[in-house]
Amino acid sequence: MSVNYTSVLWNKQKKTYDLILWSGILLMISCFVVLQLILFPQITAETLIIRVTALTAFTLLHIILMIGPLARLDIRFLPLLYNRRHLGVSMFLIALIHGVFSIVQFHALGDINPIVSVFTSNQNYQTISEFPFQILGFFALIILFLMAATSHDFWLKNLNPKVWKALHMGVYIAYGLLITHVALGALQYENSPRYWMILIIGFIAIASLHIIAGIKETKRLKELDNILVEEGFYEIASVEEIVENRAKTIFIEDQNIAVFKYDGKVSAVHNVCKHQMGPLGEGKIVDGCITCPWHGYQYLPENGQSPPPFKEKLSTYEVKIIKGKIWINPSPKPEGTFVEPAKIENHE
Amino acid sequence: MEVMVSIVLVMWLVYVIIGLVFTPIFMWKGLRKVDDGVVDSGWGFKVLIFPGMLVFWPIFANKWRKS
Repeated sequence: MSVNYTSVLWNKQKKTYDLILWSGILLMISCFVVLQLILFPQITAETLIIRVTALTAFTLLHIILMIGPLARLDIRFLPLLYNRRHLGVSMFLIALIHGVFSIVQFHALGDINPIVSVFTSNQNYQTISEFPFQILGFFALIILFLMAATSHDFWLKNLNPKVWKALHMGVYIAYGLLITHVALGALQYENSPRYWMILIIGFIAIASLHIIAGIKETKRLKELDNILVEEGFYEIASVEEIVENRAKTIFIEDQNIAVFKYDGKVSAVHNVCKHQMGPLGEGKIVDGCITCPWHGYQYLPENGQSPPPFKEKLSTYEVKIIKGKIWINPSPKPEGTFVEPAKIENHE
Repeated sequence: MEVMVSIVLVMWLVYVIIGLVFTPIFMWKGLRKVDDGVVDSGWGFKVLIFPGMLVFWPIFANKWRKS
């Protein structure tokens, strides 16, 4: 966690994740290479590299953008969120190879600086079929670089979480630029509608997943309208509703709260991880600690503190159980404050 | 257009070169002063943050000045 930085805080899960990730990437590259060689037997090595890296990076970007909403819709996708930054950096490196080879192939043979050539060799901004689509890819690559370069925890702390988050939301701008880059570039030279279909299906899949996940979240918030309130405490669920070592999340009075059930007890903490603002309530209790589903940051449920020597602290909330119903006081206690967990009656 | 792009490119190059000069000095002398989490961090960590430092060096120059 955050006592001292290391290049990569390896653990068994991260190693497995990366092994699967790079096996998948190599498999994807192999498939695209074979496909290109079958469809275009005369293809040159440079063009093959440009096309295969483009296809691989663009496919990875789609996967990256789908992971977030998928994990919100079904917890079985949560393991994909874990270590997603390695997926992002891998995607950038592959996109970088595409960018460098494209610039060398198409812009480095004249007497103009290759980067200047990207911006000046084609200025037909008025036409769709000849639009200088390379510029769109160039700016997308810059955004992806900024995200990859600032993916380490060091940047989260030193740029501050809000700036960091805003910077990394740039992935949606990059995606928009790349959709246009592909539509105004490679697809202008294709007669077959199937490539357009693939591009549109990819966009619809990403947009639909985000909309469905948003609708689910809105429904969850509307459930709060029927909530019971007594002496500052809100009745939020019955004890049976929460699965052992898991949480129910709830928004009350602008507080985003995760209520965990574990070991015959119930505790409530702020639902946002101190690391990268991950949804703690979507994680679970591991070895007695709330464990963030994104990167495995841990907190003790009773006081919201990361176990020593780590220093992260969460706000905690008062909890009580009356006749099998869980009641929460949404006034946050100062970060790291111990709050007596509510004991579950008749717990074996 | 070509002149304008060339001017922007030169300005960007100057910015990056300043970052290239600043970053090793900062990593040697200033990094510990602005973030105590870097104590005992290895070369792998410094290599990973190097590309970002070339972009965000003014923020760290300011932090270092204030520390």
